[in-house]
Order: sequence, then C-alpha cells, then structure tokens
Amino acid sequence: MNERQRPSLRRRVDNRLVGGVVGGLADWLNAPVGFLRVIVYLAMTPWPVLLAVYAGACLVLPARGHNRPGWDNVIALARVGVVAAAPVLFLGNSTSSDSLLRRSPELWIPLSAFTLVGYALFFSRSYPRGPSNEEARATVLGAAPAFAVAAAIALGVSLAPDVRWERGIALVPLVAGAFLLLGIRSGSWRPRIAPAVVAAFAATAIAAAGVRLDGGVGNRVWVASAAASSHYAQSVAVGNLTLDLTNMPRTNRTVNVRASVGVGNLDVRVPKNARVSLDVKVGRGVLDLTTGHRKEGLDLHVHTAHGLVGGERVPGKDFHGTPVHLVASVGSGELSVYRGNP
Amino acid sequence: MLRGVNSLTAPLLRAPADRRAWRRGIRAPLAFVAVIGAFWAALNFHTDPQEIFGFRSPVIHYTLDGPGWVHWTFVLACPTLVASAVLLWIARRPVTVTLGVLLFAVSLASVIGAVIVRHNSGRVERSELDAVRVGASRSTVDQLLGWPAGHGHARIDGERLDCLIYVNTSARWYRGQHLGLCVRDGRVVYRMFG
Repeated sequence: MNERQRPSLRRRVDNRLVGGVVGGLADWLNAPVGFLRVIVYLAMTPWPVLLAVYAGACLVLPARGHNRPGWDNVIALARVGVVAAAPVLFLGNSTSSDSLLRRSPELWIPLSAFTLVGYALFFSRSYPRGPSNEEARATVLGAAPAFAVAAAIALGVSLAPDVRWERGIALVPLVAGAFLLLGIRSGSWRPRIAPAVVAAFAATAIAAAGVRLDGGVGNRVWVASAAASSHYAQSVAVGNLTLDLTNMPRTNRTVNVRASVGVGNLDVRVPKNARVSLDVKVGRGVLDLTTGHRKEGLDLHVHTAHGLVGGERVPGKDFHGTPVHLVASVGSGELSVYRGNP
Repeated sequence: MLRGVNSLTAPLLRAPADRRAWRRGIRAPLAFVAVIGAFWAALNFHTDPQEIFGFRSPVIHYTLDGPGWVHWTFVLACPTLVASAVLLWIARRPVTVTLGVLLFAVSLASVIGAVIVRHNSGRVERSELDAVRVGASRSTVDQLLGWPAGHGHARIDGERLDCLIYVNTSARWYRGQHLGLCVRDGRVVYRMFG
C-alpha cells in the first residue's frame, strides 16, 4: 500500500490567508484548503466563539518547521485581530444582508453569485511568503511601543471614565511612525511598516467617526428622577446606554440632555408629549428616530426644531409637553430616540 | 473484510486524505455530505420566535420547534456528523472506517427524521383542537393532539406559564392558524387562537 506519511499539525507561514491555522489543518488532512476556509468562515458567522478558538490556535500552534510557538504566533494573532476588527470598525451594521435581500431578485441573484465567486477566489488563491523568524521578531518588537500606548489608553478608558481618552488616540500612530523613522536610521524599517499602517488606519477611523471614549466600559440604564433638573449628561465609552426620560417632571423650561456612546448603542426615551429638538450624529452605524425614520451609513447628522423627532409630523397633533433639547452622539453603533417606551 | 473489521491488525486502507485530489474514492463525497449535514443540523438549532396576541389577551411567545427531543437531536447530530466526516476522511483502520460510516448513517438519518417530525408534528384539524377544553390534563392533550408543533410561554396574572402550540390545518386565513394551550400544574388553564 502506498501509505502517505501524515505530517504533524502545524500552522502555515507561507501561503496563508489570516493566521495559517486552517491552511495547516488542510495540510494535515490533505484536504482542499478553500473548502475548509469556507466551512470555518460559515461556522464563525453564527458562532463567534470559534473566532476565539481560532485566535487561541494562532497563539499556541507552532509554525511549520518549528516545534514550539515563536514570534510568528504573535504576528498571526495580530492578523486575526485586524481581520476581525476591520469590518466592525469600517462597515458594521451598514452592510446587513437584509438590505441586499430586500431588493429585487434580478439584482440580488447576480450580486449573490458574484459574491460567492469572489469568496471562492478569495479563499482558494495562493498568498505570498510569510515572514522569517527574524522578520517576525522585528515586526513584533517594532509594534510593541504603539501597542503599549494603545493598551494604556484601553486601560484608561475603563479605569478613568472622566477623561476624554479619544484625544490620546493620535499618540498611537505617532509612536508607530517614530519607531518606523528610527528603523529607517538603523536599516530595520521594513518590518515596522505594517504596524504603522494599521495604527494610522485605526486612529483615522476612530477620529473620523467622532468616537468619544469617556464614560467607562459596560452597559448602563439611566432613569431621570422625579426631581426637576434642567441639565442631564451621561456617556459610555464602550457599551450600551439607555436614557429613560419618560418620568421627567413636566416643566416649561428647556431641559438640556447630553449623551454620548463611543462604540455601542444609545437609546433615548423622551416623554410622549415632549417638544423635542435634536442635534444628533452617528459616525458609523444606524440612526433611528421614531418608526419610519431610519438611516444607515457613515457620518449621519440630524438637527431638528422643537416639536419634532427626526422629521416626525403627526397630523392634527401638537406637542405641548416639556421642551427637551437632546445633543447626542454615537461613534460606531446605533442611536435611537423614541417617544415613550418602544 | 468482516474479519478485518473486527481486528485491529487488519491491513490498513487508503483514506481520502492519503490520495490525490479527484482520486479520493467514495468516502470523500460521504465526508462532504457529512459536513453539509452538520451545517444543516446547526441551522436547525434555533427557530424564529413568533407571537400569538389578541385584543386584551395575554401574549404567547413561541417557536415552532417541534417536540422537545428534536432540538437535542440536532445538537447531538451536529458534532457527530463532524466527527464522522473526519473519520471518513482520515481513518485507515477498517474498524474506524466502519465507525465513521455508522456514525454518518445514524446521525444523518436522525437529522432527516427530526426535520420531518418538526415539520409534521402538531398539525391537526380544528375539530380536534376544539376537543381540548380548559381543565384537560397534559396526558389528554398528548393523546388527542400528539406531539406539539412548538413551545412557548405567556405571562398570565403575573405568572409565567409554559404553553404548547398546535397548528390548525383547517385555517383558511392567517388568523386562527395557531392554537396556544397554556399549562399550569399539568392542566390546561388557558387556550387561545392566534
């Protein structure tokens, strides 16, 4: 019998798409790598926990030709992080398949066919040579200072919620750029390009979306007290915030409400008869101002006068309740304003 | 061959993993079907939530998930089919190949059976539904109507009750298609068409 010697399970370094785990699995099984990639990708859609399993495998599975994890494992993990974060950062909810499926079959059938062909090509084609151990080491060490600054900011976001941490984001590409320049002087600049480019893109995306990183991390529900006040302010850096103003005492003075969410969803519930004026913006995501007034995409702004909620006009109905001026922003996520409870 | 199946010392077989592409033998398409079957089972883990509600009536939240055991059939069959795909692909010993084929056959048959049961259970005529009155015991319901088409819950007088859902095959309109029977202490205490 012509028995094939089965190789050890190792990650691919050359010709890998992301971390080389599925490629290594395909080499081990002598199976078509494109098919396995599609299966793993499809399985990750309903079970995101598989992404964590994949990331773990990137970290612990040695590269081909090695018997223990090395510098390339960190590179593989970073590649998984970039691939997982990029769609959330740049596309998010605005690319829901619902919008495609709602269109006519004449449009979505060829579009779906093109998408499938694109996926097949993307998952089956060959990819370039991976880094050597020395190149991987130089890349990891070159990215370490910028990563340390980003990690310090992430720690600050959760530990010091009163600070506007987004103002420090520019430090990340600056540090990465400085180390790239130092690399040019010492002749080791090439491995530091990728971390600098990723840092620049991420910082630009965060700045362009207007993400505010104050208010801490986690979900928060805030209910207006029965005591009269003319100013309310709440913010969350990463998480969901619900502002329930429905129990706010009725008054003739304008009540100013400020709310912000950096990454996450913001729900504001105003009293049913309130005269609401809005100054709201969403960097990337969804703006939902009462039923039927919904926008998806990038850089969404709405500014309305008293008595309206996002262009809402109810024939024969005037709002005579408390005047509410709402200034709200969401960097990446969904901002919803309801009358009463949804 | 049968002697070989029973022996760990039997000659090794060539697995699809040991062969060139397009020359992998019959086990390769079986492994492919097993993977697709695993996805099919996984897609059936959850069903869309629906509601029965009427004017001044409690709302019944439910899913048409079939009898309770169907869900666990899918949950068990999914990893079993993946395991059978791996065995079919890499196994060289006749005993492991046989195990892979058995796992494949049993788990794929159970997925197909569970899908059929889910789509056919709880479909009854209006007259059969009307035979079940408030106060009927759970066993009477099972006797008269068989396995439910789905399960749900409703909050009635502040208490959360489990509900069984049946599909009225005599309904001509969307309204009246589903019947919810909410049960407390083994007895039907509330019935509602929606």
